[in-house]
Amino acid sequence: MKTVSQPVRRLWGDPRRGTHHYWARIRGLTAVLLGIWLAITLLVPWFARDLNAWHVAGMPLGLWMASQGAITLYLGLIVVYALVSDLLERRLGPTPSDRAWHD
Amino acid sequence: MTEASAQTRAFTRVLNRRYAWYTLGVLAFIAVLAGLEYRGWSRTWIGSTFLIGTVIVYAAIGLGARTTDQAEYYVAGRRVPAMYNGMATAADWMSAASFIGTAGVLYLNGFAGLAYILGWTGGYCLVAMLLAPYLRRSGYFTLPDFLGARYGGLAPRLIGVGASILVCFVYVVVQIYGVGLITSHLTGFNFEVGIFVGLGGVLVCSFLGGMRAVTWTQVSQYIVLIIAFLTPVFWLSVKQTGSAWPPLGYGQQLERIAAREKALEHDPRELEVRHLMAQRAADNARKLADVPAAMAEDRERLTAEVVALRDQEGASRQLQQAERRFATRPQTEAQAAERYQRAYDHAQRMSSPLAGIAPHAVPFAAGDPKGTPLERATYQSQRLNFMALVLCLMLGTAAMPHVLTRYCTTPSTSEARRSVAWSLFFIALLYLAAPALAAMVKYEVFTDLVGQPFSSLPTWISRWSHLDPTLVSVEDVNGDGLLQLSELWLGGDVIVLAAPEIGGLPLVVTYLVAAGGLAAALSTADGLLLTISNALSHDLYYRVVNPRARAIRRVMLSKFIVLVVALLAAYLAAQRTADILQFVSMAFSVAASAFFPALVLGIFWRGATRLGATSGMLIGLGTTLGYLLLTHGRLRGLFGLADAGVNDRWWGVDPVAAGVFGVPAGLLTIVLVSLVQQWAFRWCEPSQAQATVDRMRDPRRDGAFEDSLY
Repeated sequence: MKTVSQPVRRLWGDPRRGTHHYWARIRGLTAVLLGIWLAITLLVPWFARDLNAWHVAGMPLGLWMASQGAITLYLGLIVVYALVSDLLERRLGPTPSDRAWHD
Repeated sequence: MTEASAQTRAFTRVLNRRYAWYTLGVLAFIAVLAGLEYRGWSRTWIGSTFLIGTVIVYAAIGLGARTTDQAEYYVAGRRVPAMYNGMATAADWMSAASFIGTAGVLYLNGFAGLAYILGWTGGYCLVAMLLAPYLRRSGYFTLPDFLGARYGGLAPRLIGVGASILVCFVYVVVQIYGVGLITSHLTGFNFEVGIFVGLGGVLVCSFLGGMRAVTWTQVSQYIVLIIAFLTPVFWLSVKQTGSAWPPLGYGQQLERIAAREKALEHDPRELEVRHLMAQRAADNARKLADVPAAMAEDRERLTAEVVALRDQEGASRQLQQAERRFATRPQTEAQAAERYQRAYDHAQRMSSPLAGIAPHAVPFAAGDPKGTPLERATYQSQRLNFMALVLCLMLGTAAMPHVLTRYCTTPSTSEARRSVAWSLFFIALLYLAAPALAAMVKYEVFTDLVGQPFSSLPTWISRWSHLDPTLVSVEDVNGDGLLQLSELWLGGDVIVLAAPEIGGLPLVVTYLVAAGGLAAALSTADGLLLTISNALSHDLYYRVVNPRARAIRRVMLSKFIVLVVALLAAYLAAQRTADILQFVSMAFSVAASAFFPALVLGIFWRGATRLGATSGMLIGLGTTLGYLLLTHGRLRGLFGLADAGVNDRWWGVDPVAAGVFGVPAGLLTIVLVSLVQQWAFRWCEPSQAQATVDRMRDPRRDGAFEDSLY
């Protein structure tokens, strides 16, 4: 990662600028992912009846989204968050996160 | 360093090996019992072996992990790997209500029941992104402790203690009720004995080993409960649809159910029963209007029955029954009124289409967006309530003290984040299967059970109706000797427990499911009891009353409190006032409005002040409790208030979703009070609070402050 181009740096934050930048990236990531979360949470029930016009796996789409689709998307959001924030943390350099045990 | 350290990896390998052997052991245990059933073991023997076998195993794990060391007792030494913490959280999270109740609600309410599934999974997004990593990084191990450190002073900590206890106690009573229900079903003990047997299992864990014992038992309980839930789902799926993957296979069942629903709605026999039930409802409404007169009338009628039977030859059994009816008639007006009310509710429900069961696949089926104004209004109100409930359950998930403390047990912040993903994965395994189970049970009931002659009904009906007539009851209302849907009442709480019998699976599966339900209830009760006792011993006694108390003394006090709280909860559960899902969902609204605003703003907004947080927590909590008291019929009854009308509701929102008012009220109060304090009084947060916020946001200072806590 010697030469990071300007757009990438803007997206990932500049490691030389330290925690402050890291925190700004984490906040941005949280805002984007929670925005998607809110959209799923509000749109799926609101349009459930209209979505039922389509079918997926033999089930009406509204019902499928509420019983399976939304849960899978939620899980995806959490996985993305965990992976991306690990990456952001790694760019900050070593962290004392994995501490010695107490015994 | 974001990967797990060498120590964590080595420990994970040990755990992998142990739990692989454990899982094989569970499967072998089930196989042996299946063999014994084939050889002709009686049902009591199989049931008792399941109960005693599993409780002994949990107790043994609890005993093996006993500890008096503080770090072990409160946070399991902070070395639980992400995946295992995920399993433990899933068991901690999935209560008796999730295991027993969810599929039942889906069976009875159709689409509306999915609010629980959405709410209880989507909430983990909030946990993952807003709370878990920061709580872990701050190094505290209870919510009141965190509030105390962030805002300083006594008030936020004390309100936190109070709200933790209120929420967890309501929730734990419900769990113990579930334990009683399952043990009495499993063994035929009576309900109260069942409660105390189950309680023994809970106590051994949380009493001896604190968080360490609870963690490792919860992992083993998760393994039992997921095997128990998935076995009947897969079995029924293969049996009914031939598909080995239930979430895909049950689509075709939904179409068949919809066709059957249409047929049953216009079936002449169903219409006849519904007509008779409507008459019965009207009759009971008349009795309720003048209770004393109705009591006199009942007495006369019952006496006349006895006299008439006395003159008949060979009717001694009917005579006995008539005499018993006479002897057990209600003696006081209050009793009589309650009985008429119950009869009215039942008849009213049974007189509606499909015995009050909502059409399965249609969202908000009671209304119609293109229908009459009334139908349109019903549609809007149902949809609004669905969304309000989903939001409340999500916010409540992100504020449940017993779940949030679980993320303080991981070795690092990175592991805490991964652990949330694992938690949702393990939880989703059950929640993806629950709708499939509900649909397959409904298919079985609608097509096979309905229409059978009363003389050849399966035995589970009589056994369950004998155990608890409010859960299962049948009555040949129109006297045609055939079972109609409107003559069969199945309570939501039996759907999962009776699913194997409804589907005609071997007895061993029935008891496996019951053992799974027991594991779900016990694991949640464990986590809750520990949270209550930590709030009292650590946050109240150590932090407030006696800060110089020695570590060993605090642990001993915590153990003593676990014992007292458990007995108190068992006593309350034995009163049988719990209506499982209702009270659980109320606890979510309360937790959400007490904790969510103060926690999230405390992490993400430097400017939140102590006064703001204190008033926000109080106002949020007050709004939710006030709304519950204003609108919830049962709760008003407890405080001796008259039942409320639907008109008292704000925008028609159900009492269960009271948190949709409490949380915004709390957020708004914190923001306004903090801003006013800063601008008008030039208030500046003390440097200690600022430092706490900075520390939580800085990955390079992970865990730097932990040792000062012990």
